[in-house]
Amino acid sequence: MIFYAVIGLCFLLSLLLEGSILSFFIMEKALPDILLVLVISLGFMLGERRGGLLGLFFGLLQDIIFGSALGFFALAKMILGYGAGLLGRELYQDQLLAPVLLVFVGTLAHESILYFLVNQFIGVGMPVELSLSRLFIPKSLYNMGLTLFLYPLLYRLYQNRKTLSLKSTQRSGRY
Amino acid sequence: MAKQSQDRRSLILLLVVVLGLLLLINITGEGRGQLTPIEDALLALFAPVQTVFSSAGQRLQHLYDAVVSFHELRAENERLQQEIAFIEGQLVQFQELQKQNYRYRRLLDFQESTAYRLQPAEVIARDPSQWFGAITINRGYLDGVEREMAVITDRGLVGMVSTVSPNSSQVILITDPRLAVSATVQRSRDPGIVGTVESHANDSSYLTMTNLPPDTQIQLGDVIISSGLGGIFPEGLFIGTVKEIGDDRLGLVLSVVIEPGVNFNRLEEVFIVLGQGEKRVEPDDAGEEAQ
Repeated sequence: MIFYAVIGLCFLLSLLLEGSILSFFIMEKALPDILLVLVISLGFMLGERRGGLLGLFFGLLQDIIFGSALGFFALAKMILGYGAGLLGRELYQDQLLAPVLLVFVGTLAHESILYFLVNQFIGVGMPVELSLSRLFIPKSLYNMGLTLFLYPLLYRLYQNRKTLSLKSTQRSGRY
Repeated sequence: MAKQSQDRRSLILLLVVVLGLLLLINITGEGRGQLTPIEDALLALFAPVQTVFSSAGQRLQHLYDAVVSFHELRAENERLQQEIAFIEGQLVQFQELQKQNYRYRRLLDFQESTAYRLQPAEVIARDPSQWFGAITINRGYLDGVEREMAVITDRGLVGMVSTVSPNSSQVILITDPRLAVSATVQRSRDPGIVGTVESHANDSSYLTMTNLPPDTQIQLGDVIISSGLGGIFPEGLFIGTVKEIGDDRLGLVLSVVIEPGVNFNRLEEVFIVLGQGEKRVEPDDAGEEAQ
């Protein structure tokens, strides 16, 4: 329970940070997407269902808070959370390389989905090459950097939670 | 088997949600007039917290801007200081050239107005000791300079050439204790009133004229010139003006303190009087002589 409370707080804080402090330090139009890093990292650890749900919920929250059009972030983040969960089954979770690379590729995918959706439903968008060089790649690199710090913390938190739940199961079995 | 079925259900659910979201995007993508009550409530909940975060962000940005502008200002300040230093350097150079130009003009006027044959020279070194008064000039025997030639400026007598090398010469100043000049008072020009101008015992910036007869009519401010006796210094070279009049200890001879016309601390250009003070032959004079 504490784990999910901490995770929820992290998500809310990320939402607030992205919309306020971080947006003042915008460079080359690209900003790190802490929310996405959290979705991918947690999806990678918790599995596709929870990853998808986290992506859907906080993506929708992002849609509500930052724009009147609903579903863009929710769809992109849900797909990424789900996909990260699927890959988490196959890859080692205790090594940093896999989530870092996953976040890099995932950010590119996330931005591509958004690019496609905005193009299709709203009909505006920058040229692909420009978006790639000025937005997608810088953002992916930012997120990769963030993952280096965030993933170990989240993983430790997740392991503590697992240990605690194991102990409580053993305790309930003994009595 | 159960796992596979669970996966399939998950996938189907995902597809359903995806389709739902696409529909939602399609409906809301073009813009909406009104928000749902849930959205309203969420935004109302978030707004105050966002305000706090936003103001913190703005403060941080101002701080960041201040740091950035501080660096920019410092860089600009450094650049401007460098520019000022460069301009100041140029100004000093310009002032130096102006002064040099003024000196050269004065020396040229002097050279043209004087009756002596003069060789201009620049002071290239000075004796740093307090004991002697000597300078080195950039003219030597290759330029026609010889020992015991008088050295002057437009302000008066400087000294005498003591040693000569090919391209430079040493000049003993009249403030040097080793040199004495036979001199007279310009106002009277009495051939009987001849004294010796030497260095002042207590103050190197003054000269002393001794061995004057006690009844010499001399006044403060009188001009002292070389007498021409002794054969080294030509007659009539300005030495200085009388600053103090006094007797010697026994009252047998008169002694006066002279303020030299030349500022020996600021000697930069001098003239060497060529040919033991022979007067130069002007073209008009030459014509008259020929006739």
